[in-house]
Amino acid sequence: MKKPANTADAPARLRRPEPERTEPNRGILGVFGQSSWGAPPQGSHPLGFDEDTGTPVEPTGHGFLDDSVQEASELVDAHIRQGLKESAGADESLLGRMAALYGSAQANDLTALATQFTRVYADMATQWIDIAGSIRDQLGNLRGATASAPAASTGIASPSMVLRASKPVETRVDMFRAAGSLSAQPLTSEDANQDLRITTVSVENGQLRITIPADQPAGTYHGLLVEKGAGPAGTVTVRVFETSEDGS
Amino acid sequence: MNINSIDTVTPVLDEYGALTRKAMAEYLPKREPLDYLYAPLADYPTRGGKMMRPSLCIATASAFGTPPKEAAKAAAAIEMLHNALLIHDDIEDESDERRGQQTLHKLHGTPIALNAGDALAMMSIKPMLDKAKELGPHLAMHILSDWERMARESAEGQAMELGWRANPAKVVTRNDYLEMVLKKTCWLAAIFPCRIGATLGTSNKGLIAPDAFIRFGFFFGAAFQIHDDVLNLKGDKVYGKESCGDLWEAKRTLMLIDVAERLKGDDKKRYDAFMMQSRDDRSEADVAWLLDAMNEVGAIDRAFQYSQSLASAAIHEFSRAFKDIPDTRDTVFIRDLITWTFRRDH
Repeated sequence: MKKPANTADAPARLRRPEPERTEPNRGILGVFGQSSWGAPPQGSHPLGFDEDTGTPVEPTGHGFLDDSVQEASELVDAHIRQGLKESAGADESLLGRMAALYGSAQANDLTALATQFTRVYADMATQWIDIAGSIRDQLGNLRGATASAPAASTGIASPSMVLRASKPVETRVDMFRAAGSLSAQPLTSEDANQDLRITTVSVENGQLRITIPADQPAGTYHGLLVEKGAGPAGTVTVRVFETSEDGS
Repeated sequence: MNINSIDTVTPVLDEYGALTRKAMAEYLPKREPLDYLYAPLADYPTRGGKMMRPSLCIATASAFGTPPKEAAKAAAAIEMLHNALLIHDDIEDESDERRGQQTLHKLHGTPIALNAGDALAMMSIKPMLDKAKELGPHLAMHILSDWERMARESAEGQAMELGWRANPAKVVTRNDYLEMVLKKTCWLAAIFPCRIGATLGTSNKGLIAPDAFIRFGFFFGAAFQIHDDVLNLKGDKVYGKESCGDLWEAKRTLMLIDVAERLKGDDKKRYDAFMMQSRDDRSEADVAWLLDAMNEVGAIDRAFQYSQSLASAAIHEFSRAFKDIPDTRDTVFIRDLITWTFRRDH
């Protein structure tokens, strides 16, 4: 086994030599560990080192193998094509479902994606709510930037809001889906060191009622709107600002 | 290099296995209800498996420039999920032994074992989340997306096999079998560990193609599984499952599919009758007859040779997948893990 060469400067990157093509080999391929099995076909590198992560599947170059392995090769190629198709078609996969609702995962608000992740798995098992909630928390470094952005234009009606606050606040309600019989969970700060929640939040007669205590620390708070018997249906975000010295 | 004289696999399995066990220990709490949940769910992970899956993950990460310790949490997640699925497999297969000891449901009863398996599966995502937290939202979502696909593929593969068992008259082809193995075995055993390892890599900035390692993982995992099936027919008490347990269960292995295609006349009728029986109704004489039939038609030898062919294809795919990576102890480990499959006897 060769070792990387040492040089005075940065060592040159060692590359596996391209093996020379020999006559086609059929049947079981001799001694394990041999390395001269022909160059891989162009464009079929399984690793995308740059931005080339969406490369279509190319021929895999297993023509030298016996027919039974060739069949296996075709089977796994079909599996890969199916996976790529599902991924591109935004079907039943998790990211696909989220992308279908929110667009490209790269281009959109990951906080919203994570919140949607909550809803998707809430359908499967209540335990996932905690897990997905922690994902949302872990992606929280993007939430501050999006809290004051306009609500997602999903076309889904939000409950009307009654807000009481002695400080300047911004609010935002994002609904995943139409829902009746809502209840609101306490709003939790996105600052992990700030454990004073906003508990005076409720839904009464279809109205979302939020009261911000006078001593509530400034910051951004999030909570879920939960439809009875059906799980999370939306989120509430409240951003509390410090009152300036002149009271503005 | 003489691969028979230098063991390039076991030391790495030991080292990365120990790293994984240490990481797992942090996620297997010893709290109440200890006797009915946390002790049972920690049983399989502490029985000393081969640790192939987590080692593959750590080695791939290391090959792509990330220190092994940095991949330990992801490896722990993979091993925990693997053990959770083993608990469920043993219940579904009605197995008596796992790694030389009684299966969890034999020890504690099915309800407690089932619940422990559920809990371990759920808890397995926590170390992966803790690792994903360090990587930023983009890579974290890709890891979770891959996790979801791996879990889905594994469940679909298990469903295929359970469906065949529920419909013993169904004719299963070799391609059906390979598709089942691809889903049930290869995704968790090889494809996912490699993909996550490479995603943790620094030299490629965590970027991997959508099809990365699927071909390598398929050929490697299928070779491993078929050899595992062959070992089951040759096993004795050294082997952790019951000897010939697959025959008692009439599990659709490559050998069973092969022999079914070749038997004629009365032999075929006896085979069909055997398949329609429940496990408890099958006789030792019938199991011995079927084993002899497999040997006579060459089904076991053919399956073994086929697994070698798949291993050869796996080595070819290894060369493609790691062609831009310098040779290191880790890349040698991954390559030699393929052939190590055939040197093991359990």
